[in-house]
Amino acid sequence: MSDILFTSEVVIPAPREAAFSSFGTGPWAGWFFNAQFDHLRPGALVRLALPMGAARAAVEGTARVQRVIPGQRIVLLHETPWRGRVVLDFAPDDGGTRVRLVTSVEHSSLAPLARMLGADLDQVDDPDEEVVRIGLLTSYSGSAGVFGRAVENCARLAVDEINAERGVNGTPLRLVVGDDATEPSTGLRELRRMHLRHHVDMVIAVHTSATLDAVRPYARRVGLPYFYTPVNEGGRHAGRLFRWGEVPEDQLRKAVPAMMREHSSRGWYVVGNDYSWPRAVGACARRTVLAEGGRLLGERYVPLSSRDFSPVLEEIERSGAELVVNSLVGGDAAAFERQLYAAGLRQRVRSIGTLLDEATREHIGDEAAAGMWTVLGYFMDLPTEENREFLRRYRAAYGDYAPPVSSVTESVYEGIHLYARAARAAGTIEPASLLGALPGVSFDGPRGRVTVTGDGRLRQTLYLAEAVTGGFRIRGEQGLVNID
Amino acid sequence: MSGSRDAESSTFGALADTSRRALLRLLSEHGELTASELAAAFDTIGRTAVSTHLRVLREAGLVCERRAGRYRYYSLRAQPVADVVSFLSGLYQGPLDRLADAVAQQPAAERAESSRSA
Repeated sequence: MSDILFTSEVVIPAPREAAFSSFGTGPWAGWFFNAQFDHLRPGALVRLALPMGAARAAVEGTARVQRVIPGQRIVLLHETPWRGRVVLDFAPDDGGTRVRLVTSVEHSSLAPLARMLGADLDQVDDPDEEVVRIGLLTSYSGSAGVFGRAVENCARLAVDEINAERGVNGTPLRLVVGDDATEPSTGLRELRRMHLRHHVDMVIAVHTSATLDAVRPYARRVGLPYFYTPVNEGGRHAGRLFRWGEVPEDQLRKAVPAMMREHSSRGWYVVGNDYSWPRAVGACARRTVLAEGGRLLGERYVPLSSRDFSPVLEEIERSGAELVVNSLVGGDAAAFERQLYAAGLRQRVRSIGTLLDEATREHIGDEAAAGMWTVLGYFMDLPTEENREFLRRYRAAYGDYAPPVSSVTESVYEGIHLYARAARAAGTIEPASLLGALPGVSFDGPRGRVTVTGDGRLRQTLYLAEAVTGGFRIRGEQGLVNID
Repeated sequence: MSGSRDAESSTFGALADTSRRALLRLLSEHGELTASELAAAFDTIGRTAVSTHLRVLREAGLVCERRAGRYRYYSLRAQPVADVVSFLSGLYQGPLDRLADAVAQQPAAERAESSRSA
């Protein structure tokens, strides 16, 4: 399907070099959706503020630099909340500069855009069509918007791989995507749309646990199998809800004593967003820190979409804490760690991010993130053949400048494969039989072998890692978690 | 989405085909029609081709389908698409207006200055 094209141009009374370098820097910076980036080079992430009209708040979007011809041209790929390509051309024109914008927005972004604008472009699917509908609920804007594009890419990769092997028992899979915009109420509206109009057979989800709390009653009432695959507060499966990601106990158990040893420090501070998962991380941090002989010097929870952390940083300085457990989400985590670095505190204060994955690290930036700790089940830097092969397929499908994948975003890849294996084992996608076939199902993929346990959790290996320029240095394997 | 493309006015792949444009014209004249009524209006293409075009238009969000009994009725759904296109067109005009304003607000001497220091 082809894209929608827009062109517009303006001639400004300024030399071409000045016009070009005004992109993101200098006295006119901000004209292009307040573009922010660390370096203007191919592959670099660009954060944008996209105005959604007078009645709506601006949306934080992301783009990636595809090409730069210094002084002449910048090509950006929109990643979230919609997909497209923007070419900015700078040409001399009668003593000034003609700045030209050629934008194409992908056709598939039209319906999601219409929903963001409060309209409805959605068709109703034929419920009798022979297809297995995989509902994907994730976030393309708001604090968790840093994950959405890679989540969708990974889900699509799994669906395509399964379809290349005759789908599930001969029936092809189809991906149906929903966007909660990091808003629980939007998440519930999207889940209802996916269920009522697209008749999804299951849901695989990467969103906040605040959204999970909002959608759970509906999913339970209509009997939808629900696979929540990112980090979470733990617990065995409840009815048809499965939570497969890393839990705070497993993440902090070894990281807390390791950080106290390495940084010769005992004073901790806990910062997170104000909803269920960060509070569960905080409670676990409190227990772990005390058990390891450390001291908790402060604890603070802020609303989602917080961007100014100066009061928190002042409190950390006053408390004398040198170690921080950061359970902020996406854009919030990035803002906090960038401000901590800018305040010159990085040398003294070390953080562990319980949600510090490749996407969040990239939003924090190479310099500001260096030295942060994390514990997760997957890193792009895992030196295994399966991972290299996965990344090769990912780049072949989505290009060299596709957003990085991470434990948070890649989790849907294994999740969908595990679902398909259970469906093959059960010979049906009928929920009761399929879910009954789940325990013991395993998949060998980019993060090694993962296996569904008897109580419906996921057995996987966790790794302790440190953020470095361009990625993570894996410091150690923490061993399998969720062994029955 | 890949490669470069000529800058043209807004256009849709779904609208690139003459039969599909004819289908949209018929629907805008008649409001709602079944697939066989639509197919009857064409001598050059058959029923199957009409169904395929309808599917493309439906996937493009330009046409919606309503089922009643054993019939499927088709009608236009152009307004939300037009709204999105007009929103995007305004959105991408915005930055250039802001740049022109920012430059205009800065005296010429400073402009030369910012080009040297940039």
